[in-house]
Amino acid sequence: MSWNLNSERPIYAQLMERITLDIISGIYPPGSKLPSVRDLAQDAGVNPNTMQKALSELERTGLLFSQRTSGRFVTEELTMIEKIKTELASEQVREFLEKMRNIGFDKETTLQLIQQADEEEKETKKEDYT
Amino acid sequence: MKPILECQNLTKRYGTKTALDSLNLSLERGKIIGLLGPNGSGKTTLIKLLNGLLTPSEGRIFVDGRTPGVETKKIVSYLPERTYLNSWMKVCDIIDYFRDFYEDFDKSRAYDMLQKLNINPSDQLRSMSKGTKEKVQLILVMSRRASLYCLDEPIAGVDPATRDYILSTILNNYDENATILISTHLISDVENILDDVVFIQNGRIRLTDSVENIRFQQGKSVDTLFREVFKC
Amino acid sequence: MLKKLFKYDWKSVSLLLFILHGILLFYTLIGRIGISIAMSQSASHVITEDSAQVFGIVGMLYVLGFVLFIFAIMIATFVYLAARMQKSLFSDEGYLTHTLPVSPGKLLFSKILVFCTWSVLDILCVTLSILILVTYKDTLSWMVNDLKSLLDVLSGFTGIEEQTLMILTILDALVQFFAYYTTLLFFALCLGSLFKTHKVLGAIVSFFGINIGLSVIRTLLCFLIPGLNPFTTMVSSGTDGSVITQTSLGGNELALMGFSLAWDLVFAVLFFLGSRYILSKKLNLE
Repeated sequence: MSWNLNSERPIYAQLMERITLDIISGIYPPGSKLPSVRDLAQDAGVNPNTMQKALSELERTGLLFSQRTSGRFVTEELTMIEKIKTELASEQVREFLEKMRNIGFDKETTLQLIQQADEEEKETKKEDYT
Repeated sequence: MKPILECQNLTKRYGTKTALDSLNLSLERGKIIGLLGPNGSGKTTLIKLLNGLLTPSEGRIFVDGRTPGVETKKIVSYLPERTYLNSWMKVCDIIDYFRDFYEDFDKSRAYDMLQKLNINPSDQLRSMSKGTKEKVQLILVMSRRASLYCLDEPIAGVDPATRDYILSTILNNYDENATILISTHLISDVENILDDVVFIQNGRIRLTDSVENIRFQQGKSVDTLFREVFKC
Repeated sequence: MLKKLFKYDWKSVSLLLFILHGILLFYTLIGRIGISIAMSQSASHVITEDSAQVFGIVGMLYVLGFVLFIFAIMIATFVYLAARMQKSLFSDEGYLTHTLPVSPGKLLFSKILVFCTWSVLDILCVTLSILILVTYKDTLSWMVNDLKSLLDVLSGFTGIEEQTLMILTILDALVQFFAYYTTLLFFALCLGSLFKTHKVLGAIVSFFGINIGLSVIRTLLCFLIPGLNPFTTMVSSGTDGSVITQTSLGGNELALMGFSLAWDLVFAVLFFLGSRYILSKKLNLE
């Protein structure tokens, strides 16, 4: 998947977000080894120094740890990963609710809309099977 | 560590025209630096000066602490704006040529890149299209393990696919002990790979900063900032 | 490094020059064969009035062509080499040449060597062609005699003064040809490069300008410096007591030749240093 970097924000921050996302979505499972800085930088099409900075920052937060010469690994602390996952999800929900409020829907109508959307999705799935 | 490039009150005049005006600049090693400015701002003049192809009118210029000469040419790899490959040679001949004169030339890397770009080593340079010649020149430059790479407008006049290839080749061959100086006016294409930028106009430095700083502090891309700074 | 420079400088010019000179030799051989046919025919008395005329006309045209060819090839070799050197140093190719990690002195010297080598080959080829056409049983004896007299002079057989003079003359010719004119050419090319536009025109003007200028100065110096004057005056008393002053050409050949040799050597060195200076300190590649 292409990295879709926004040119108005610092690159290293965007790289950090993307790698964090890859970790909590399971692309890089807990304890797994990350590709080298060069490979990641090449994949993202960025300066290796910038990627290095992003990874160092993630190391500082504890999401990654490095083992001398063997490279960088994802933390094995599942609690931390879960926490970040939940935080990210809550953030998304908060943003969503804010948006709905701006459109003019209250919480109950919003919940109804969610229910409706869920059912419609189930219907289309059933149709696919028949 | 000594800066890889240092300019002290560097001035270059062509008759009545001043191309560089008392320029002061110091570049650290190990970074990818963009030399950005409009046409005629002095970018090419600066690069030619550090390669010893021009002599300063006033002031001094040092590459790795030395004035441009035989020793600096050993560690600088230069990709000029123009095509200089028009000779009697075939691709394999020019590769041997580079290998004969430059100790740091990596022949296998060169052949590797030629293969990836589907360029036949036995082709005559004379008969190649401009685009292919430019690719060969890039391969020759990037196959050297130099301390300073000077790329003058490496992606101008080239199709988008080749542009991507050139940028990824630059990243691929990047060595943290080496410095890459890219002079260009196509900023949005290269910003993502730059560490630092130097804005130059009318032979003077307008600004030096890191890309991250600019984005962080000003909330804009370097391209946007450039348009503001150099508004006509 | 010098060897490598020479190798590539050589390769860049040799193909065309080898072909040109090959054509000359081929043309010469055709002529030789033609002459042999003519001679064998006249020996066997098969020639008629008409065929003699045809041979005569064809022969004349051939010789005319040959002479023109010789002049053309010598000029062409010089001009072609000069043009390639100019291109290598001052055109877009200069971006490649001047970023090599070699000193400008070596760059120059390698090109000078290639230039001299090809000049020698050119002369040898031309000489060979002429010999091929003129060497026959009759002419052979004359040529051997001439050669013998030259060797006599060189070995001192005809006297020390003549020997020294001959040696100096030959040395001077060599120095002039290989050192003086070659370095002058490169110096002219470098001077031409200092012009913003019309670099080639600048080079041509410089070449002839310096050449003529220096020749004039040299001639003047010869007349001014006593002992170098090409004319010698002898004062003697006539039988009737009057003073006779005779001015004749000659008498100072040895000194003149020595002066000429020294002059050419000094200027050859100056031209080389001048070229090297321009390449190191005054280079401005567009």
